[in-house]
Amino acid sequence: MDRDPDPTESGARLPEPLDLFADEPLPSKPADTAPVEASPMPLALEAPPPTEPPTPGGWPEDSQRHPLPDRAVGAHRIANMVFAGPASLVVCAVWVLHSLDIFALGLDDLVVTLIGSVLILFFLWRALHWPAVTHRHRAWRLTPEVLDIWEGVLFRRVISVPRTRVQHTEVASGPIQRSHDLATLSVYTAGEELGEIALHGLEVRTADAIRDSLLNREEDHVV
Amino acid sequence: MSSDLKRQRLHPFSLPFSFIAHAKGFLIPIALFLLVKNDESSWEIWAALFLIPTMIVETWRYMSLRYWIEDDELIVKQGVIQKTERHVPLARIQTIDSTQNFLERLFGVVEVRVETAGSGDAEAHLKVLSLKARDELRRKVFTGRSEAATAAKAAAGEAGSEPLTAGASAASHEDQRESDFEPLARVSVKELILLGLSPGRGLAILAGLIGIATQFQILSDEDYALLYDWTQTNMASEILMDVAIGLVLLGLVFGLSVMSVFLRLFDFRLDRRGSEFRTQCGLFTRHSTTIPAGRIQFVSIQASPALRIFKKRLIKIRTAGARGKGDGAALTRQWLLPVVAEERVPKLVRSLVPGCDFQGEQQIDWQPLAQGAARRSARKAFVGGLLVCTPAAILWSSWGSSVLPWIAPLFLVLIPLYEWLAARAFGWAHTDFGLVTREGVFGKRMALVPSSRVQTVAVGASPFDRRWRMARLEVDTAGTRIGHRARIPYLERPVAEALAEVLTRNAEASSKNTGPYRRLAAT
Repeated sequence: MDRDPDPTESGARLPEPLDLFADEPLPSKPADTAPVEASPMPLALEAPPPTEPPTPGGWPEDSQRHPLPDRAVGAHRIANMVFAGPASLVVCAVWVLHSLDIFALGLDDLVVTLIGSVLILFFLWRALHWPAVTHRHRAWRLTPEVLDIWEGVLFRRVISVPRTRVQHTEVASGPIQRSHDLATLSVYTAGEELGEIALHGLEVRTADAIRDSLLNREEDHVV
Repeated sequence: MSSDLKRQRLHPFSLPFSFIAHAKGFLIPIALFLLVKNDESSWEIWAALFLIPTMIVETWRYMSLRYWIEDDELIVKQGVIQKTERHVPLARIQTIDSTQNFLERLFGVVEVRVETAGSGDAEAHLKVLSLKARDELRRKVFTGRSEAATAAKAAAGEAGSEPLTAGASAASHEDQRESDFEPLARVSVKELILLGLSPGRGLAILAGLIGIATQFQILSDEDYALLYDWTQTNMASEILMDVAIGLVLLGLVFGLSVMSVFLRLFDFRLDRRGSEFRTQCGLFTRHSTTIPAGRIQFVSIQASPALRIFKKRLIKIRTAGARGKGDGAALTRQWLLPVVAEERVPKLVRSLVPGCDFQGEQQIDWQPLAQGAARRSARKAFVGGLLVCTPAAILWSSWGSSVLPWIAPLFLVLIPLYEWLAARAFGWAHTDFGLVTREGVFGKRMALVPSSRVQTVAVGASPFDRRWRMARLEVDTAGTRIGHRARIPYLERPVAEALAEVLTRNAEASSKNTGPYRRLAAT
């Protein structure tokens, strides 16, 4: 991660920036480890004197960037195959029907075979390889002030939710996730475009911990 | 308690009004069906007949509505087969809006929407009530609200010297007497016409009408041929013909636009009572909306070229509350003031957003986009133009006529040039009160998001952004969409990241009321 303290080209002078886009994907860990030591905020803006002592940084509120567990990839693959499998079978069926002249597409045999194989390859790649790629770019971080979520492969994004903006949360598990001891954490704000932010494939323990941490706020939610 | 209200029913006119409202939903499909007149498809008639029982049940259910106030709650009970009972604490009620369409005005009844802070539709939609019932409801709700507030304060041990008379005076204060309202602005007919002179709205309506006409073949091919022949025989010069057609189209576009503005915003009035704003507008359907200043999430100040010439501005706002989809009241609530002199804007904005020290556009230290932003924007438009022109050139050339000389300059030169100018015109600033952005070449727009209204901040980068070390910042706010979002494209990546950091921290700080706010230092 490179930090650039020099004035940027447009002339805006900045404090030390935080590199929200790590250019190298994080090495994946086998599972979320036990509580990590608390570390200070990596970003150093001119901080005003704190009015209250910061919450002791216990996991998950440890201001560390955490990837999703590895088995989330497997669960994602299985979930994808639920759609990709039948879709591929349909393509095969159409090809078979076409070659047996039962169902005629107005195209050359070779063309149909080509298109069919391209489609099936695409479905399988999308279902089986792509989850590993997206997994590398997903992460989350919980600080005393904000929940950050990284996502996106081509179009990368980091979403920052100030904790007081969380209206309510939801932890849900589909059947495939349950069999992998995973869950989806949904965070709801009053916003429009980003009113619901979801983290799919968290460990159940982690999702519950983040939810409890977010709900421990006493202040009124701000709209 | 003085705020208790015994069980009330809807006004008897609710029955025909509800029926008409449901029937309106079917009018357009029925009208289109009759226009198309396909002899084979009689199944639509049967489908329509099946829908009538649904309408009846809906109406019956609607008439079963009862409402009353008890124990600091507004209770609304409704339903015959599936009964629902909704309790709304009076303290949660934010606004009580009323609407009158043409028929309702005729009969002296009014539609009432009770809204709370949460998202979703209005908590209670009472259609229709008599004016007297509406006033009584308002009175009871606001009495109950202030009583509850007084009781809460007493319970909390604050300000023990609030005598019982405070409740009574509060009730009379909340009484919606016209004299309490301080008129702020009234939009004249001339100003409305000025507002209507923005081509965008008219074009959209015209496009819609043409779409309907061609889709349902209202004009057949023979009609077009006749039209063409008529123009040939009646006009000597072809250029004159083209000019005439152009003028007619232009007139149509602007005419439609002005008409739609008039329908919705006729006699627009802005009043104020304390920290509450009230807007009223509408030609046939009259909308009255209350906007507490604290509910405003986002301010959008716009100016079409026509408005700019006359030094006027348009102010739209996003407020938290009901997210009506095509709901007439929700669509009206976005308007704070359709036409206002630009000198009055800073003061208005300051009263709209408590704690905001907006002194005007000129006083803001605007920051530009990243250095390569304009070039990237123009290049993107150029590539897009190529993607349009290439297939167009291939297709049209096979038909004999060449359209390329016409569209090529537009898509390959003019639009990229416009995008280049737009990127240069884009400005943003992080001020003590929040984030402001401005954009636009011919028409201008300015967005203002107070720090305390920032919901979520997202920083994103496409592969191209990453290549140029740029990023895009988006700020999410609450409220119904008004077609204007706070987002900054083509920022240098460190700037985007730092700005996101500051915005979220200030958002947290503003809700905890700890200061000072931190500002993004800029030269």
